[in-house]
Amino acid sequence: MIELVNYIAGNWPKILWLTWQHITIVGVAVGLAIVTGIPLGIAAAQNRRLAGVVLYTASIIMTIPSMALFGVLIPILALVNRGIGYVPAVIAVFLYSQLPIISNTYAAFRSIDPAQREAAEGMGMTRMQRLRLVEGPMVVPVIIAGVRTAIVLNIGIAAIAAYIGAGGLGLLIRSGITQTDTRQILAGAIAVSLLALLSDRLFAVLQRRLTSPGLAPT
Amino acid sequence: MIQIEKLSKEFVQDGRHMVALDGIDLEVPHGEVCVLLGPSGCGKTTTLKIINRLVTPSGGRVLVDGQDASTFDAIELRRKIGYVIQQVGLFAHMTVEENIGIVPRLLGWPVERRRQRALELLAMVGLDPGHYAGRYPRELSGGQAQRIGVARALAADPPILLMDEPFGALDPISREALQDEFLAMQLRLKKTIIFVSHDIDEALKMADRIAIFKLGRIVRHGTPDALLADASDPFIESFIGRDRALKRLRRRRCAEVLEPCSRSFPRSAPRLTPHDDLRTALSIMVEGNFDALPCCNADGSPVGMVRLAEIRNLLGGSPPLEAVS
Repeated sequence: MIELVNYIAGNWPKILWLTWQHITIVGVAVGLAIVTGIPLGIAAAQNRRLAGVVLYTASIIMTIPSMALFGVLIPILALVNRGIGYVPAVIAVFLYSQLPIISNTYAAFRSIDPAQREAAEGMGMTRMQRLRLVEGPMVVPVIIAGVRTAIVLNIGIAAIAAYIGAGGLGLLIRSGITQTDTRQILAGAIAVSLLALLSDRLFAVLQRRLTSPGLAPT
Repeated sequence: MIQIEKLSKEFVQDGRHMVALDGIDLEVPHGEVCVLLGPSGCGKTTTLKIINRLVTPSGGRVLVDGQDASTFDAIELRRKIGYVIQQVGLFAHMTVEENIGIVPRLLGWPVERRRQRALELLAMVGLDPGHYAGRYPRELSGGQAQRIGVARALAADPPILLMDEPFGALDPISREALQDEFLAMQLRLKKTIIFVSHDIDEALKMADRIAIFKLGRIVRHGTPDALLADASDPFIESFIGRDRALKRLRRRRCAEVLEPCSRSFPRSAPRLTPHDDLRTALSIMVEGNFDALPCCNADGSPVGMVRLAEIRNLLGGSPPLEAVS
C-alpha cells in the first residue's frame, strides 16, 4: 500500500500526462460520434427501414470484442501508415460510441407525444421553433444520457488501446503486467476507474440541469 | 366568418383510394358555435385540419373573413386560430404559465404581458392562478389540463377557435362542468367556433348550428331545434334517438311558455323557476301527475304558471289534451 502511494507520489506528472492522453482519445472519438450519431438517430426516427439497418449495425459493432476490433483495424489502417497508435484507438472508440448515442437519439425522438407535436404545429410554430421550444427540451436529456453511457463505457475500452500504442492510462497497466509491477497496475486501474466515475458524475449533473422538472426523470 | 366551399379530400392508403371529404359546403357566421357531428371517420377532424392548413384539400376552398385561406401564410394563419385537441397536448416540459403564454411568445409579446395574460386566463377558466401557474402538466387532472388547453388556445385572443372533441376524454361530471363554463365564456367572448363532437347531447347543448356528417358529406345542417323538429331521415333519427322531444325540451326554458296565473295552486305544489328547462318541468309534472305548475323567481315571488298543454303545443302544435275526468 505504502509502495503504491510512493509510486503515485513519485510519478504523478506521468500519470497526469497519461490521463490527459486518455481524455483526448475518448473526448475526440465521442465528440465525433455525437456529430454523426445524432443526425443518424434523427433520420432513423423518421424512417422505419433506415432505423432497422442503423440500429442493427450499431449493435453488431458493439458485440465485437475490443481486442478483435483493434486487430481488424491494424491491417486496414496500415494501408495509410496509421496501423497503430492514436488513430485506430479513436476510430474504435468512435465505433463503440455509436450505439448508445444513436439509440438514445432515436428513442428520444420516437417518444415525443404526437399530441404535443400536433399542438405545436397547429398553433403556428415553424419547424425550427418546434425543434427549439418543444422537441429539443424533451430529447436533449435523453441524448445526454446516451453520451454519458458512451463515455463511461469507452474510458474502459480506451485503456486496452495501450496495446496498439495509443498511450493513455492503459500504458501503466500494460507495463505493470509485463514488468509484474503491481504498483503500476493498481495506479493505472485506479486512475481509469476514477476518470470513469468523475465523468459519469459530471454528465449526471449536466443531464439533471438540462431536464425540465416537468419531465419524468430519465 | 368561415365559409367552406365544395371542400374535398381524397388520399391513397395501402393502395386503396379513399375519400375523406366529398364536396362539403358550410358557412359559420361570426360569433357562432358550429358543431360538426357524426361517427368517427366521417371527415370532421379532416375538415378542421384543412381550415388551419394542417391538411391540404384535394379540391374546394376555405374562406376566412372572405379571404381564401390558402393565400395566407400557413404559420400566420394558425397563430390567428385557436386549436384545442382531445389529447390536449400540453407541453410537458413547460409550466402551466409557459404553456398558456406560448402563442403570445411566438408573436413576440414581452414577458410581463405574457405573464399577465396567463394569469388572467387561468382565472377565466376557473383555476386559481396562484396555485396553478407554476405547475407542470403531469401534476394536473384531465379536466384541469383541458381547461388549460382551452386557455392556451385563447391566449392571443384569436377570433376563431377550432376544437376537436375537446371534452371527449373527460368523465361525465367534468365534461358537464366544462361545457357550462365554456358556454358562459362564449357568451362574453363571441368567438367563431367550429367544434367537433360525436356526442349528440353535447352538440345540442353547445351549438348555434349543427352540421351532421356521414361518410365525408354533410347530410343535414341547421339549428339544433330545426334538426330535432325534423328527424325525417332514418340516419338522423338513429343519431338523435327516439327521445328527441325530450332533447328539444331540454333546450327550452320555462320562461318561454309562461302564462299568467289563472288558478290557485296548493302550497305543497312544486315550484318552477323561469330558468328551469322544460324537460325538468315535464319530469316534475309527469311524476306528480300535474297539468300545470306555478313558476316563481328565486326570491319566491310568483311570475306565472307553466301548463302541460303549452309544452305540448311547443313541440308541434298538437291539440291540447282533453281534461281527464
